[in-house]
Amino acid sequence: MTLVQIPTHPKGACETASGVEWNRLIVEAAEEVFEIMVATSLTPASANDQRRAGVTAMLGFAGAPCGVFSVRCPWDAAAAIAARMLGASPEELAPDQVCDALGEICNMVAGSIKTRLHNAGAGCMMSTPTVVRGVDYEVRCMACDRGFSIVMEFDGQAVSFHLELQS
Amino acid sequence: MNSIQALIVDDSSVMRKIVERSLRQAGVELSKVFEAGNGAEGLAVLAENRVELILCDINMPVMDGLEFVRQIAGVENARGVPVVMITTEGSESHVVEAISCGARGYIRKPFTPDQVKEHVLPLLEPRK
Repeated sequence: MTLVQIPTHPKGACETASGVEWNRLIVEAAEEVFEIMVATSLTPASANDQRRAGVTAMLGFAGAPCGVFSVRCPWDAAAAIAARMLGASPEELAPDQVCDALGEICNMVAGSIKTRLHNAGAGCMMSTPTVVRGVDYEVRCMACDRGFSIVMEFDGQAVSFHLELQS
Repeated sequence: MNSIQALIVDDSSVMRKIVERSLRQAGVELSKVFEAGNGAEGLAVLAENRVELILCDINMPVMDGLEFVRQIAGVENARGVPVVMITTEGSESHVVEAISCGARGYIRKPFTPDQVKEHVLPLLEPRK
């Protein structure tokens, strides 16, 4: 197994965004992006969904909060997302387009979270997304000590959203 | 509306295609669409080509969208060309900064084709 470690700011360089309902924030942002850009609705899935991620898109937050946001799903789900975004069939798409699409989904969901935090008085910067493809890896945020994970479904496909934060 | 040439600057090739499709759905006739993956590539396009509309992301590697908009102020092929930012950055401070840099419109991702129509068509109306 490969370990993908994501560095964030050193301890002490982060502020905290207190009083935030993180799970609700993630769900609202994800639902908005999927309804508008993927033209489909997300529904809650079992938190114990064991389908393995074949592709992960992630980016970093610095400020309030500090941490890593990631979107993970099986490859077929990522291809279905990309196909819906582009109005194509999954078979027509190149692997780069599938990775690019999931990276952009990650970017938009994280951006929506960031805007909602900003409106609540918190502020942070956001990196551009990175996408990892494969089945035998683990993503770990260095220095993060709490996390929020939401598993959802669209068209029978699972997609999960993860926010790992530094205190 | 006359057919126009447009430049779309975004580090996501998927998003560039979606923006182009949204422009066409909004009724914008595009004779040619130039694509660039960051601000520096956008400047290279403008060094050789005249366009009538620029749509630009903010968060990009190499040169971000705000720096790109600042720099095109001195580019002859971009003189008077409306720039619309299309970005995940939705805070008011980003909107103010983009407008102060010279952008004429601001669309937050995720966006609908109707939002593209609402923000872009008025900027092209003098061409009617």
